[in-house]
Amino acid sequence: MIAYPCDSGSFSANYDVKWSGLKRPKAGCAFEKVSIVGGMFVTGGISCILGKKDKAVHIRNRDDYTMRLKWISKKFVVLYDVADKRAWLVDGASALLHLVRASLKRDSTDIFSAQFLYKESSLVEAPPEFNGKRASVFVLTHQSNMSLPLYAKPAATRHETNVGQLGAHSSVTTHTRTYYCLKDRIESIYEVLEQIIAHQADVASEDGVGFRVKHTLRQQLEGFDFMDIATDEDPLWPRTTSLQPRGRGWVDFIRAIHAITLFGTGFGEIIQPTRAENDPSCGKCNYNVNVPKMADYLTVCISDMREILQKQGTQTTNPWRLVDNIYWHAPDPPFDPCRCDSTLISSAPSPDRVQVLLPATFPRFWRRGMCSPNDLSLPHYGAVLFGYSPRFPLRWGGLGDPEVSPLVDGIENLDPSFADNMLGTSIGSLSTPVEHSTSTSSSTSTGAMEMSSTSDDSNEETARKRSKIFKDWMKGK
Amino acid sequence: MVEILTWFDSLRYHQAGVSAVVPSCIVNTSENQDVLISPKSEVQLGPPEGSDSKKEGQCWLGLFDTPMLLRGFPMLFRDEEWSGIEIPLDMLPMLVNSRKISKFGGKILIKGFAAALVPTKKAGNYIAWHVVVNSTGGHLSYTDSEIQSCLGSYPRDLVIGDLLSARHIVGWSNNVRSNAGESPRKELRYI
Repeated sequence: MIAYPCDSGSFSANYDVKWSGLKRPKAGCAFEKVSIVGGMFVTGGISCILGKKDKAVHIRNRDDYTMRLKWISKKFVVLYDVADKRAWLVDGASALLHLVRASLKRDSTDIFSAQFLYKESSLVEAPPEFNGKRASVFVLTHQSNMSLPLYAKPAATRHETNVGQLGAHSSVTTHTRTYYCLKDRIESIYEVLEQIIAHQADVASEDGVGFRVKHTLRQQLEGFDFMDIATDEDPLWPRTTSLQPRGRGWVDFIRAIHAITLFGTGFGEIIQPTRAENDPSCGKCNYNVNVPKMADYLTVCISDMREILQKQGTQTTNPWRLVDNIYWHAPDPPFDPCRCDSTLISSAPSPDRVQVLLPATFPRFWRRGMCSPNDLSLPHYGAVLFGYSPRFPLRWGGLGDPEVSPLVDGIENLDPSFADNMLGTSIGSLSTPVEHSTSTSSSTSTGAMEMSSTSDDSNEETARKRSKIFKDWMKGK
Repeated sequence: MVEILTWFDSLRYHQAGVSAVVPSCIVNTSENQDVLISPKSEVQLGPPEGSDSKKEGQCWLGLFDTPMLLRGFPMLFRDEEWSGIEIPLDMLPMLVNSRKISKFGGKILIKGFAAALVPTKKAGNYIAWHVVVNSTGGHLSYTDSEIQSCLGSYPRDLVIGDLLSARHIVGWSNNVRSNAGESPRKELRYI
């Protein structure tokens, strides 16, 4: 992955996002008992404003709008496309802007569109040299953007009659019109995100989502529907999906950084390469191409990875530690130019740019010669993909450490919903994961998907066995 | 009219920290029946006796930087146990720089960026709120330990509809002193 500018804050992504269609979490899920309520505005007869001298230190001399954006820009959000099976890790400010844009798009086409005053052309966009978080913050904080009217509030009419000294009457009628502006929309969506983030990071109490999520199965990805938030659904109910086995390698990482997940359909290219006409691209080694679909890759901008490394990890170890016990291994240099043409001649395998995350408790962790990318400062606007790497194949169960063992395409990467229907049980609802099973019986509901071998050398044989089990099982059906 | 002008006059006083004003004025009538009003309010410098934002019932002091208390202002009678400051519902979100009343984990609270108001008691027509402030001015989370600890005494039967009709007292705490046995006064009470 190289030269992937982060487009999450710019206007080239798709804002006509559709609902995910996912179900609510079942019993035992981390978000099981959570719902988000928008809150209530209190408008009474009193109109007052706090005097400057009255404001306490915590609210004086400071614009809370900016402070809120600063706070959320340090948080992380996973946008998961349920149709494309692609995940994007973006900063909170970019996710907020993305939601705001999607909400405006929806407003321009719904049945109240006649009252909708916003014109897309009036939004001041970030200069082209701004990327990712910087571009998002520019748009969200631009003064003229914040005051863009979306809807008119009912006009207030004031009629005054003055009686002069000689008894002469004069009357003045004033109309005051106020608007619901873009800043109000931004704050509304911010408030919802703040609540979800608070739940996700709640590790202190046993009922907290952050605490519970550590004990839920890895394949169980929980969050909220992107469009529910964009269209101001109230209350908001959580959603959940099951990740295919090849998409579980980054789950521990997003849980460790308390990233919230928003589901949708048709996010488009949130992060995509911007390359000149003559720039080479190669789908074989994922060089300068759009993020492949159906592979459950997590795409992250280098700038965000740098921030996580700087604040929560360290580059003094080899491989680098990203957060907690999670290390970053690059099976091949991710930013090297494509050499697939030359490798064809030498019949060597194409380099694998997909990055791997794994814990230090992994067997022989420090003796495998693992390493992180050479230099993270060179591809300033690049992005990396995390996920299943054929060069360093890891099999992740629902809980515990992974094992080195290749996954068999077409069998183990079945669409979990398809598997759900076939197997007559929900993978997400299993209270005890079936993992590291060596049983050859097909009576175990998830056996065909979860079996693993204990030896690196018997991979091929295991794959053949697994294929046979699956075929037999299908015939039996 | 004179009384109203005197109350207004007391608003011009401004002292650092917590202080109090006892509004007063001198009314002189001249020979030609002109009335001359001279304000003569007494300013009590420094916090009035017993005021401390850490003290029970007075956490609301943390909401203001240099609050000026007006002594003698007529207010509705309130039971002694409801110590604190009475604030209309409309003004509560404003005090913590919030726009609305939120619900988190099924419980009502008002949360701004660095401060929050948490309901801690409901009885009769009163709802008591406790103020939680991040003194550094940094972000205060819904899951902040002090908020969660206050929610421990959250009135279980509280619904949004109660807020609209109730009187809101900011500053109540669990450790409020007991005034059992004191005879309630039925007239307007003066602080």
